[in-house]
Amino acid sequence: MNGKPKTESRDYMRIKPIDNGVVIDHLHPGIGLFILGLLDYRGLTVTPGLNYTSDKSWLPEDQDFLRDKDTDLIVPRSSVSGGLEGEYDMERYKTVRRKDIIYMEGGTLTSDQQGAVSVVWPQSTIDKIVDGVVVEKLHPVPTPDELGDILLCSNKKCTTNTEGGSRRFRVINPPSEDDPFRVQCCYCEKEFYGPLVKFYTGQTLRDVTAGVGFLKSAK
Amino acid sequence: MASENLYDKFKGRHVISIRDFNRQDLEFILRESSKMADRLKNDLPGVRELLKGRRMGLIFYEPSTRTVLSFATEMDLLGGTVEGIRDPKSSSAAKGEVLMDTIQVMSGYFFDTFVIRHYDDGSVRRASEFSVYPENNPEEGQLIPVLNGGDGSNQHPTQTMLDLYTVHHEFGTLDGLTYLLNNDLKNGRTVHSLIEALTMFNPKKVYCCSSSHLPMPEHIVAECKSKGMDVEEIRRYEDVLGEVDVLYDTRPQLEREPITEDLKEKIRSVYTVRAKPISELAKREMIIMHPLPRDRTVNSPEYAVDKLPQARYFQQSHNGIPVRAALTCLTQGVRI
Repeated sequence: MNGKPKTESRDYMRIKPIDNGVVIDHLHPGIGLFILGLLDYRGLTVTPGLNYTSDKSWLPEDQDFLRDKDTDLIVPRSSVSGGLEGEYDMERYKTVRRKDIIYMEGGTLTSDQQGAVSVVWPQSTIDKIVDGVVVEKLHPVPTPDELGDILLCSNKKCTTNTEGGSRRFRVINPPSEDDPFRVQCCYCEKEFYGPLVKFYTGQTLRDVTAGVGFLKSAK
Repeated sequence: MASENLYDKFKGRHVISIRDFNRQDLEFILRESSKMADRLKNDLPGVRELLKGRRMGLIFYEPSTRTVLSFATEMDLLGGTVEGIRDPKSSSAAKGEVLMDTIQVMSGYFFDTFVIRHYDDGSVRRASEFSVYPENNPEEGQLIPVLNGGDGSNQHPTQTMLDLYTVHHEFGTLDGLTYLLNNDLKNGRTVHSLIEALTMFNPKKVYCCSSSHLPMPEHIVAECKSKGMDVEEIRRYEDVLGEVDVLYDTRPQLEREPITEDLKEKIRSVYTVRAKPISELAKREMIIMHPLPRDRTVNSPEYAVDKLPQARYFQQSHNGIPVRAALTCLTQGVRI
């Protein structure tokens, strides 16, 4: 049979480690493309990896987890409010550990973009790589005190929606298991809770992560 | 903080939201307003020239009686002048100009301060970011103070300040009093700002009296409680009238509510402040406040209440003059 041997083909398909840039790792399977959609990667070489098998679980080890029957997502037991099927078979889960991952060659994340990652999936890891070395590792990803144009105000009467212009949001509660994610628009002063927080793409957290732990527990 | 530092803190400062102020700031404003009221009432020397040569730009995109007139009057009394937009139909807003552009244009017209009322939430905060003297002014780069005259359903801080002044003027304090906020606690921005301001003081108790259709928003009640305020929601104001010091009535904005006419009529009936229960149950020293206007279709407080010794809503509206005059002076760096 002609053609390249299988092993060579596999090597060709394998992602080459990046020398300079950012890797967003341990994303919950299914949200990698959403995160990618929030990033400005014009001019950069970007590789999204979806449903990769993972050597390391993105789940914290000291918590119990349940499976949300609506979304099939694994969520911390301590941060859900209902709609769950029951205890998840962790042994089975460990055999099918998956994650999404994003490689951005030559890029960096703005505070706003890092904030977006922290809001959508704080258990992820952001590695900053310089000359092939991880010079900064963020895990869990911290939420900045203020977010900007990455979000939209959900108040239709807010001047940021009627007249446009830049946006600013004060983070009242960063995502956590105890309290829902809360932000306040610095202009109209209205507050918004987890699932209603809207990104500039028009999607809300609920659109992407309905049923995911701390987001579902929002009031 | 000493008064000297507070004078410095207020010079060139915007007045956008009650949340931008702390207790010390508000007490300073009340003291300065009291001094201003005294100077105006007694026509003390120099009061008519406090703002001589200063120009106030009024930018009103929504109807106003008390706010626009009290600002214009205080400027007139203190020797300043007023110019601006009182009807958006006669300005470039009618051609689609956004407020951000209007304020950038007017910033170059040698105004010393702006008062803005606009229908969009947050619009005055946005406008304040562009309120800076441009290249044609000797003070290029300096802020031009913006006073918020009401931005949509968000904030009306000078109304809250004159409400606090009215209570303080009557009781000499804002602490230790029992407040009753009545009727439309859902749609009224004045009661939202007032209860928020009261969290900076130590009220004995705050009753929120409304129908279940017009309650104080849950997150506001929760925030007040988290700051230690004793808040209780009730359905009939007569039940607690005997212990109340300040009854703050509001206009029910039923036009915003998708409820039946029968229910609207019931709300009007139950929550109207009437002379009979006031006379029979309220303390003589209690005061009745209302931000006005009084809707003639609702008539609350009913006209008979006007004659009771507790009625203060007209004096409350008059207090807009010294409070707004004091704020204008303070933000201009003028000592009262």
